[in-house]
Amino acid sequence: MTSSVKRRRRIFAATVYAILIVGAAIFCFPIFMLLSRSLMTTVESTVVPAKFFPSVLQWHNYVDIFKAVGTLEGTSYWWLWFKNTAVLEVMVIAGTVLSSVWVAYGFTRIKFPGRNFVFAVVMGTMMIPSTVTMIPLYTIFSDLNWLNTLHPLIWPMWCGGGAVNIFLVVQFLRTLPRELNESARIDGANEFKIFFRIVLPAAVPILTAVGVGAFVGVWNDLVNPLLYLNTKDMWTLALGVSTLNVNVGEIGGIPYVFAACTIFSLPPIVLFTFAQKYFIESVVMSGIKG
Amino acid sequence: MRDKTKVKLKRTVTGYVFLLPVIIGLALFTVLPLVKSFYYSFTEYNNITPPINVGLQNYKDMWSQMFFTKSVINTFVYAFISVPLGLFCSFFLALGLNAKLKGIKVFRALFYLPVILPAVASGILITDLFSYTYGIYNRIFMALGLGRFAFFTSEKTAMLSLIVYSLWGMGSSMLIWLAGFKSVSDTYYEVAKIEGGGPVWTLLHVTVPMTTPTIFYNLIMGIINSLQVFTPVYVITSGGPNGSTSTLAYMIYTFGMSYRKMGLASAMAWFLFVIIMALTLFVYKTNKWVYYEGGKD
Amino acid sequence: MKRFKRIAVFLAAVVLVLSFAACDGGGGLFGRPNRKNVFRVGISENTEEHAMMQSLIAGFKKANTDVTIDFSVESYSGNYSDKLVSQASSGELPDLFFTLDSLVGYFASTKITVDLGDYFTQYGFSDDLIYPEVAEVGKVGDEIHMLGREYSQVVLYYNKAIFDDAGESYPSESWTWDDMISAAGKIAKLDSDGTVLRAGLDMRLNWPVTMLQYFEGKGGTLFNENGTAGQINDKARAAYTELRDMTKSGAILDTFGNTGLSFTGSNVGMYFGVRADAPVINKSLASWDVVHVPDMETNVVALGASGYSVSALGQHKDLAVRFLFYIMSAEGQTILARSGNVVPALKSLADSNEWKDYPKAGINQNAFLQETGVKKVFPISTYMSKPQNAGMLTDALNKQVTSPILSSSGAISASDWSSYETALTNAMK
Repeated sequence: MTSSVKRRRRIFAATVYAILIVGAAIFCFPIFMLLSRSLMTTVESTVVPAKFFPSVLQWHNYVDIFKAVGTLEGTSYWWLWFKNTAVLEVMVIAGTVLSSVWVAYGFTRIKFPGRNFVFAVVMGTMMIPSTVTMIPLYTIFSDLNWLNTLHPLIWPMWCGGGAVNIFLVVQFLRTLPRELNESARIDGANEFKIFFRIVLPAAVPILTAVGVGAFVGVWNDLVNPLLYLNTKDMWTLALGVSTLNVNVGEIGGIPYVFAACTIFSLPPIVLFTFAQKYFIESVVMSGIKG
Repeated sequence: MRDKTKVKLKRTVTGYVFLLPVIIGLALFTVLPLVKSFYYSFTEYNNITPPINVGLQNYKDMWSQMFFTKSVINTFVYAFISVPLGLFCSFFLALGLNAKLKGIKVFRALFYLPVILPAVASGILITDLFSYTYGIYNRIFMALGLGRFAFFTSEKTAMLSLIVYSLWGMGSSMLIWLAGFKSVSDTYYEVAKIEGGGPVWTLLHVTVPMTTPTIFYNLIMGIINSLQVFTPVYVITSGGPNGSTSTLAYMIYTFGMSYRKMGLASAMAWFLFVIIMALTLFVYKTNKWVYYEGGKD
Repeated sequence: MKRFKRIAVFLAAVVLVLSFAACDGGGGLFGRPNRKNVFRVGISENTEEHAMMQSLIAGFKKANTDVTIDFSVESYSGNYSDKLVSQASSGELPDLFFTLDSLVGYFASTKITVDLGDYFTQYGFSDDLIYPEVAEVGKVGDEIHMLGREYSQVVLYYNKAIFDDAGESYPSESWTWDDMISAAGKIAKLDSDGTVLRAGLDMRLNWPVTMLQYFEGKGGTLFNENGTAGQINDKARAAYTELRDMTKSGAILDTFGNTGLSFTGSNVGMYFGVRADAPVINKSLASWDVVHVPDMETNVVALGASGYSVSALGQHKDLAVRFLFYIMSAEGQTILARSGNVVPALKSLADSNEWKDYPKAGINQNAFLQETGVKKVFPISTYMSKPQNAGMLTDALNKQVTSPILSSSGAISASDWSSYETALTNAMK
């Protein structure tokens, strides 16, 4: 390798690094401001010209925000919101993971009439905007007396977990060698046995990705809780945090709202740091359509 | 003979047992609501008193309703600008992040970070940072001598600001591009090198054509999703100012849930639905530019 | 046998999770447990409201020892009207609930509230006991669907510290509207590029209550006589243009401008509010006081009332009515007064220190009482032929009329005005 090629490589690398650093700084600047302003005093956050950094870090903001939302007969709303979100997460993740692999198995490992038709229909539902079904779903749930409960947010996810998840698992199962199936079938096992013994364990990687995606989906969801959860004690964390900005004066000021937002954003970020692989896998697999 | 049909029957039944959840889900949560919303679109309904039949009145009235026409325009402007723009920008970003440099993974994570930030939190954050009086960006602009920028407070700039905000999430498209790049077999690049093609030529004649399936899929899904944009509008702008950021999804929600005009909202929703279907069909029919390795499936 | 074991484990897991879900009774993990034998009261979300309702319930039970049923207080926040209507549509309205004046017409027309007029003689209640305006607000035709619990008129709050800082003398009861505007102008502070850093008066331009008050005072109209169409007359047009210029100079806060300025944030000097705002203002500001709304060309004040209604579909109608009339009795109204949130509707309590000492002693409490010779302006829904469209009309007024006018510059053309009128008309249909 000649030295001029080496030099060109180094300049190339340096320029790319420079551009990436600037780009990353621009991208992460708002998040830096989120943290910074969450540690300011209320007065500092309304100063003009706006400050980049607080003079003294107000760590107590993170403690004070817990008292700010009020309590219901002694229990802080934060706890209620957290409880609702936790229950929802458990139920939805269980439902999504279990039903998506159950249904995907039906679509891939067994040949029977009508299978492809149903698959096409399910895939077609991806084209249906949720706005069309939003209002009638609301009336259906209203008739079922499920309004202001967590049920409307849970049970639809037990029906396969959504077309995208079914698609993901189907794609994955298709990569599993057919021989697995065939050899077991020759041994006289029926479909259910194959499902539990062989396919389910093999699908753990993709199911982890599905589970991670489901967790983030529920955590960030605003529309569904907004539609179905009426009273403050039934809200999820996402819905609760979204209302903090409405009455900033009562909460105490922007720093407190930002502190709440930071706390609220931590779980997905932590999950991402530890489960990067699965995030990327689910995003990537849904994007690569042959 | 009998055995064969018996086996086939058993297999069919088993198959449907596995498909049961999704079939129930389809029926209850997709087909039934679709039918119902179609029915409601011809009625006046507030979910308290029984629906009243009004025929095509809703489809006529909706055009004169507050900001509806504006919402239609806004929704399309948003989708058709933010999606291609996002794909375009994230393409180049992904190219940069595809470089085999040390620590590139850290950069990828940093660019993806905004995507993980919950939409609620980022909406509140952006409202404050873009604030006309107190926002940090206006402070920067003032310091640079550019004067304050109206962001979400002026109808001329609100939609633009919303689109710029959507670009902050280009991390997810970037990941998809990266995966797409990886899937292009190296032999193509070797041939290109042999043919003496420079980096730009390779880009245009190898990378782009080979990743057209990715482009295609993401364009469709991106447009379908962004045609339904709701959360940023709800959290940041409430459709204002003067309806410049009002989108169809926001209108449907407001008319259905706030004003309780569910018949009208259903008509609006079907209007959106028909348009999305038409668009999707159009893109499918004209996908000749997509190159599938090994022929189309 | 082995294969059954695996299936059994899987199914058991599914059944366990599902029964966990179905088991609603224990604390209502997934939502409110079935509340047939609980008396439900709906209130607006607010710590004072909670405490006050608890006191009312305690007082009621003490005075009526035969009532042993459990009382459950539910609160809705965010857009209270939206939530109430949503509850109504799912048939889940509480037995007794706090109603806003703007919703009375809607609930009456959908027949979900009880006509309380039928019970007046039984409980020895009559309209004379409360302020006439309060009685008006709850009426729909000759039926009474809400009993107003408070006398609530718009008043002018002011931040003493800001007035001191600007070197201006405090608002007084003898002020005219022009006095107020000129003081507002002097309090305003602008940045080098004209951005408003401190505003004089927050007139709450997105609240139809204060807007109607403003226009009536200037002799302007926004609708026609029978509440079916928008009609912005010349005086209203002039008033709007004046308003716009005042927001540019900072005298009046531009509510639509995403400025981040607020009265409770101590960057606006004055505020049009009601009695219910007092506790929050007291928490946020160290020194403040209040006066009547200054006199305009036509002496006007905006008046509203919220109160309670009884759900016609509830399980405990009679108990709800009984409780409601307790709230309207002297004892109930006194408890209400002590919360600091309200001026009781009962005329007999007008001079009572029960409410005059809250939230802070020494405030000009008389500002909350009615003056004589002042024209009353009621909530927007009372002027509409279809009161259920009040929400839509408010949005139309804010987003399609006021907001565009405030961001315009120069003269507003006749065609603009007629498009504004059309926008209002469409919302009233």
